[in-house]
Amino acid sequence: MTVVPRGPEGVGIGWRREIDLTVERMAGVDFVEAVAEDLHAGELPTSLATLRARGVPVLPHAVSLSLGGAEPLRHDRVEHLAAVADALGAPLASDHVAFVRAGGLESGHLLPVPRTREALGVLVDNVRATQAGLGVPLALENIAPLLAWPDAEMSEGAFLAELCERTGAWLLLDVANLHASAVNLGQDPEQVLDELPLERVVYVHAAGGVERDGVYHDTHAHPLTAPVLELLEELCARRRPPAVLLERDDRYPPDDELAAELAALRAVHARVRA
Amino acid sequence: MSREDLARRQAELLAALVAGGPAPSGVDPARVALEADALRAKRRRVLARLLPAEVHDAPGQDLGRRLDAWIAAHPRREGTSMRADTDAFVAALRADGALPRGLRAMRHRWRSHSAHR
Repeated sequence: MTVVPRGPEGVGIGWRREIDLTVERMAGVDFVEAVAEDLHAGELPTSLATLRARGVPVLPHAVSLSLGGAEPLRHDRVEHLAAVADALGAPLASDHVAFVRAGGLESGHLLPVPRTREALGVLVDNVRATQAGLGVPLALENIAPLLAWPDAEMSEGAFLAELCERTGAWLLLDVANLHASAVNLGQDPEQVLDELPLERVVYVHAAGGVERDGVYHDTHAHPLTAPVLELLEELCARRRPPAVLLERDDRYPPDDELAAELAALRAVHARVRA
Repeated sequence: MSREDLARRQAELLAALVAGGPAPSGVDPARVALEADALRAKRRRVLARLLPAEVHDAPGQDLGRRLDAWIAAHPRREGTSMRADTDAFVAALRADGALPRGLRAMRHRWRSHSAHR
């Protein structure tokens, strides 16, 4: 039987240098997450050390492993993530079901992989190699796509479910990204929830975004929207995830507005349904 | 599709997004344009954030236009961190005479500041 990793519990927020004091002072932050590529294992920011000393779990979140990339995995990046996770004493680490480099170029942001058997095989290989290099369990996050590859052979839910099943990876389910897939690709988010192994969700991401001309942009620079909170509620009704984390990366609002968003997530997450 | 085909298709999509290449067959060109805009905007934001205040404050250099031109002309090569991208941009500004003398001395002050994505 698979042992569920002792991941975070409660409500957290993405730690960023621009809001480090805000995060430190905010009430009710049960855990934080930091972008792994922004950290050096030997030289952690004072703010993260402060949070760690207070017993607040800090989870590294990677954006550059390119797990869905068909080119060879960059083992130096896996080693970096492993070193950061170790330095933070983190219970788990994460990256995305995406690719970020190909043909000698870097995208700078997460791009979707085709949902084909071949692409799934590549992901399985890269995820296994990453797991072998990490000292902690790996969680995989669904991305917010703006475009789709043709000839998908599987739904997103089935694709992620099989990826988890074949690798033993955990899920970092992003409900805002689920909403993006719904708006941008016409995918039914409830069907995705039906197909996902929800018992493998270690925590959830929620973030704000904006819809323009029928396209949802997952900006992390706008307030949380109602459909995203509703998806979180729908998820919790099916199976309450252990934890949920607010991501905000730009156009930081006043501290009380961030605190109110955290409270909104907590209200949905803490609500117990009969 | 083989691994090699997948690598080629991914390279084709990325070239379409950041280097002006054609959209891969079967991928909506309008969405490729949209994603390309999003990637440019993100790189612009990250560059602007990593630039030292002295560059933001340098007079009469039309920073926004220069950033856009830099991003369009220099797709980020594999292994180039955003920090290295920022350094190269500042070096190009300096080579163009767009920065006042004396900025070089400030470089090491902000170099260790953050981020090596």
